[in-house]
Amino acid sequence: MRRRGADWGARLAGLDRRWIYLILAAGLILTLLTGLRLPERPSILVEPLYERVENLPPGSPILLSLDYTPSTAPELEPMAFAVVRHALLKGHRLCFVSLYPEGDNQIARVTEGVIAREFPAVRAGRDFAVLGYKAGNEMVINALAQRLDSMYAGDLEGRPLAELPALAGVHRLADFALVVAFSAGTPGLKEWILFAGDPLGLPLGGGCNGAGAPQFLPYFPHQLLGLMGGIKGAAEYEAALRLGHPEFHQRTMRATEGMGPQAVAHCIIIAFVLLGNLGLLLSRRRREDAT
Amino acid sequence: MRRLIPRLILTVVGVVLVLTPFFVRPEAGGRGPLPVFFAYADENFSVWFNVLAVFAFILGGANLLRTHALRVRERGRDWPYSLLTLVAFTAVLVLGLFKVGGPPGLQGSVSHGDSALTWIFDWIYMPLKSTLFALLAFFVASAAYRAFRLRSWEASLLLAAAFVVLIGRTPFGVTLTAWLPNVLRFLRLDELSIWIMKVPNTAGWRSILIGISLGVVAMSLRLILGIEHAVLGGRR
Repeated sequence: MRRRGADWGARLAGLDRRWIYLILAAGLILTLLTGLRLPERPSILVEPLYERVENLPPGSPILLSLDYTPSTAPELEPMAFAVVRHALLKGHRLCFVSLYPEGDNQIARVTEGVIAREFPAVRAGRDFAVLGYKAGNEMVINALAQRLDSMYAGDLEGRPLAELPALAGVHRLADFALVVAFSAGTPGLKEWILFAGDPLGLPLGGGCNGAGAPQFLPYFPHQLLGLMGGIKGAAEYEAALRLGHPEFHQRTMRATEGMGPQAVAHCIIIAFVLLGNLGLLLSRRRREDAT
Repeated sequence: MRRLIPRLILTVVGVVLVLTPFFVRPEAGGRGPLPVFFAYADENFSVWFNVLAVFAFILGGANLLRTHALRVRERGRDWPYSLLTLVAFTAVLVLGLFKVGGPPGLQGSVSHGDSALTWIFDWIYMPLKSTLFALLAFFVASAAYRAFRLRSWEASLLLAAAFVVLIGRTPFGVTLTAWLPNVLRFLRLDELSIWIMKVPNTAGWRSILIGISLGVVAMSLRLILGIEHAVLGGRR
């Protein structure tokens, strides 16, 4: 009887990885099909950023830096969507830049996916400015800290910065009421902290992919006023938005939808880790009995 | 001479940029030629760097073309992939440079909704990159299953922390321990997971960051003082 148990231990501890892939895929597909939605609430990391956007006077200029590529967009794009929704709802002016070559297209996805669909009265140039991508990594931030027009002669449509009402009174980074960087790596949030947030004393919030969040926590809450870590952070911002603005209550939001599959995936991983350890303990017990 | 001039440029630029923050800018009340000079340097060195960065793209593209063209010509290992790279590179470059489908003119946006480049981005690049990255979930699951084992005291600690963070970052974790009274709030899984990330994790990260920064300072000093030659193609 004990021998049989020990066999199970070895089996559990050395499970073929294809079983893991199969069960994880099945779990994810089922969750996506059923549209599982779980309750979410803002954490202490996300709340200060939400409060900052909420309490800025209407018309405040906010700089959004979309520093990510399509690989991390499923985590970072919902954050950008949520912050853009919130900022436009409060009547703030937005300015989009990017330190990634794919940035122009990522910005276009946000302007078309949120602004054009949900805020038809909002106009490019008047309410928001798309400056787009510039090469040079952190040196772009350094140059923007001195003068915006040292890097950008105009917006993506070719209109000079001085003619954009969205950037009225904004000449350098310090003129922005808030900077939010959505970052998937280098250059990204860390460079915004080192070259803008900290030296200029600029209010800086950020979003990053889940795996990158731990490296930014040392900067919170002094150099970074709020942090959205992964799709969880985005879902928390959406939850704050729903709590603060009932008009968003029924609206489908991508991060909240994504949390169901992620939660199920986490549970499956935990179950496999537990199974692996159970197998290890059973095998160890068998070895001890044998000796 | 080939080494001396780049080394001189490196030293001068390095010293000027290090000294820049120590001078009050003219608009903040700094007087005399030095504040004016350092403000000018601070403003313009970044712009010059960014202009150079654009040329790096041209060099990078040329290098990619040369490497893969050579491999195709010599029928080297996996040369069909190199051919594919060349075709894709050329196609995207031409479509982007000439702004095919989008608004004409130098000032037209390449990310315009109707441009061919946007079509490639939305329908080829985006699905390919998302798919590749999504595969990570499966590898992470398999790696977690194999790595998180109770083999030693340290491994057990890692397992416990991983367990709390994994479950605490899901709404299940919140629901599971939401019944705990306010006095024991810190034991709620979501609070505990944030504590793990904010306290022990931050302590670890801070030490790593400070270590890296000291290394960067030391390396920068070696470069500025001309002790480190490897960056200019010389020997250390």
